[in-house]
Amino acid sequence: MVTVDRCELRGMAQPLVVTVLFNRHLPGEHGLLRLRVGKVARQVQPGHFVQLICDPRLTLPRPFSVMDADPEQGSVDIFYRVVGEGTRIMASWKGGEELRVLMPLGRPFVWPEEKKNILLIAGGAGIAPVHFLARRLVERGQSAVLVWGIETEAPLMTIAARLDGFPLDVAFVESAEALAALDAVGVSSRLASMTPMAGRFHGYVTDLAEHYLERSSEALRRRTELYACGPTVMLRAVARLAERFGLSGQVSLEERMACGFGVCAACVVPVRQESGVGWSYRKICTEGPVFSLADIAWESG
Amino acid sequence: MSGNVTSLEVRLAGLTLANPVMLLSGCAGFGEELAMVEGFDFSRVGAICLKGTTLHPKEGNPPPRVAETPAGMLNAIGLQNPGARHVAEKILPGILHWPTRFIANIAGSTVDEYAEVARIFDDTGVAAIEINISCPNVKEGGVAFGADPVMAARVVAAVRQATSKPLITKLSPNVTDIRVIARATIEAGTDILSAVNTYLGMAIDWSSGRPILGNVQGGLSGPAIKPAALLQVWRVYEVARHCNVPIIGQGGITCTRDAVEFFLVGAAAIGIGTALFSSPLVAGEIVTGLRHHLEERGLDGPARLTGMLKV
Ligand SMILES: Cc1cc2nc3c(=O)[nH]c(=O)nc-3n(C[C@H](O)[C@H](O)[C@H](O)COP(=O)(O)OP(=O)(O)OC[C@H]3O[C@@H](n4cnc5c(N)ncnc54)[C@H](O)[C@@H]3O)c2cc1C
Ligand SMILES: Cc1cc2nc3c(=O)[nH]c(=O)nc-3n(C[C@H](O)[C@H](O)[C@H](O)COP(=O)(O)O)c2cc1C
Ligand code: FES
Repeated sequence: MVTVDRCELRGMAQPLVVTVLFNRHLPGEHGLLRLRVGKVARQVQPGHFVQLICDPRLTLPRPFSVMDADPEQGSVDIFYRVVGEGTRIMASWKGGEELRVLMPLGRPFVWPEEKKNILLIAGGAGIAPVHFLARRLVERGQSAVLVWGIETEAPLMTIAARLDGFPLDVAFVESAEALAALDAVGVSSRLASMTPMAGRFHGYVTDLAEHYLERSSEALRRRTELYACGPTVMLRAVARLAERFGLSGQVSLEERMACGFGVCAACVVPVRQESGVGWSYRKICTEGPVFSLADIAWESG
Repeated sequence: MSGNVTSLEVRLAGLTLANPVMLLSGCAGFGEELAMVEGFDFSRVGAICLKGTTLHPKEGNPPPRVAETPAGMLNAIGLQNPGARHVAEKILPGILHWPTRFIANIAGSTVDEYAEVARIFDDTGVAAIEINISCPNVKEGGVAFGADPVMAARVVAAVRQATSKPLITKLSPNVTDIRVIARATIEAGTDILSAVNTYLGMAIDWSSGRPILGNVQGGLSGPAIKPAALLQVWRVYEVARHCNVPIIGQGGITCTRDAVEFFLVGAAAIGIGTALFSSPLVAGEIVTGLRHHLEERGLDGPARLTGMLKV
């Protein structure tokens, strides 16, 4: 149980009224929302999420990871997929619209050591926190590779990246050797999809990640850590990869939430006990959403 | 405006609160989580009811534990809590000095368990003990204590024996006639009544054909239940007014207007639960709104509204 009174979370979550700067519609019922949030943008780190009020008539707020934060402009970006009532309302927002948010929430990714090679694995809208982390890693000059499983026909990533002024696919100080090995077997893309698409790896994104790891040198593999966000089935596959290659890593989890700040106990995940025996439910919103891969009791709950 | 000075202080039997706005059990964690929200002022809420607590730690139900519904939500948390001793020894010492009152909310699957948990909290600085009688009575075959006047009275009597603190009994609306249960628990020694807890319900994912909640069924709360809850409070008031037993009215309150409506049907204080999830600071806003409402009418306190429904 987190004792907020004595920890860094005290007073962290700010209830704010923020303004929509723009809301771009992207292929596959996706959207990119930029919000003017002010000073709080400085505190936002990769892995943090926000609770958005899509409509005051909806009883619950909707949780979204932050996809990017610009401390100078005082803005944050949300990348969303329209899946239901709340996100449909989001898609209708125009620049200038005001809405209520609670942010930042959760505990961010723990920074990897500088000498590590980071394999970032994203599934669908799980790209949001992974993209944010990728950006910060690149800024630091860290070795990192991103693979993304996305079913949308149009090259979503390029669109999102261009909007951002951030050429996601080339900005990495890449672990060139493993990527070259992938190229050699005909996998030149960092995108994967289950439906065959030109220029993309055909299969699960975790299969693409596996190819990468298999083709990495022993030395590179030993330096590699996995950071992932996506559907639970994908994260389970990431956990299996980590086990197979003896790698550690972190995952950002999702579960249905009510409050997002720890009062309702809706958002739980089974986490292994420190003793090593058994598991207990932990709140994703305050103890996560980022957890160490090894801590999740994937087989339980 | 008359010359009356408005005070929001309320006296509910032996329980005095700085104002009549409480945060409800299960919607305010163990108090400490609220400190995470910037601007949350503990001195602005009359009392905070802690999450339902059992004798032994409980892991609760498998997720998903919540589902949004039209104007409301279902929850099936399953009373996840670290057990009464942990709450008494590890959590309360860290929060009791904060400028509000804390109320323990207790649950059990046998009469003895309720009494045991009450004894543990009797030894602490909580301002009152609230009995959640909506739990299934495991020993007698799973029927909720709150649905049977004899069982409800037995729980209240046992807890009454176990503590000298003000006792609140939280009534379930999932009964044929809530007045029968209210009467039985008053006779068994409750000082205050809390009405109402959630309505039973379920949510289905029609495309997969599966229930949304891990527990299949859950409790409905939020604005969707407000009209039903108002009627239940009005009914409880019929019984409680004659015995001077105050009622903590609740069920879907989101604003000052809702709160006033609950006072009019008989509440002496009101509770906010579900509304906190989208507006963690809403209690403070309702306190301010209530003060304005009373001042505009020249009323010296919330008690002037209680049961003032014009029929
Ligand atoms: C920590 C966290 C970060 C997230 N980040 C993103 C993101 O960056 N981009 C993105 O597109 N989506 C993200 N999601 C999922 C997003 O919250 C849901 O897609 C959204 O709540 C759906 O709302 P809706 O009203 O359109 O759907 P509806 O199905 O109509 O919603 C009904 C209820 O179910 C909940 N719900 C439905 N799907 C999910 C889900 N997958 N996870 C949690 N709750 C759900 C809703 O919040 C709501 O309470 C995140 C979820 C969590 C928990
Ligand atoms: C997520 C959640 C958890 C709850 N947990 C408890 C509990 O542990 N004990 C209890 O007596 N009531 C519990 N309740 C019921 C509330 O305290 C309250 O009585 C009910 O939700 C009606 O008020 P509302 O519509 O304002 O939420 C819970 C409600 C919710 C939504
Ligand atoms: S969503 Fe309420 S505790 Fe996490």
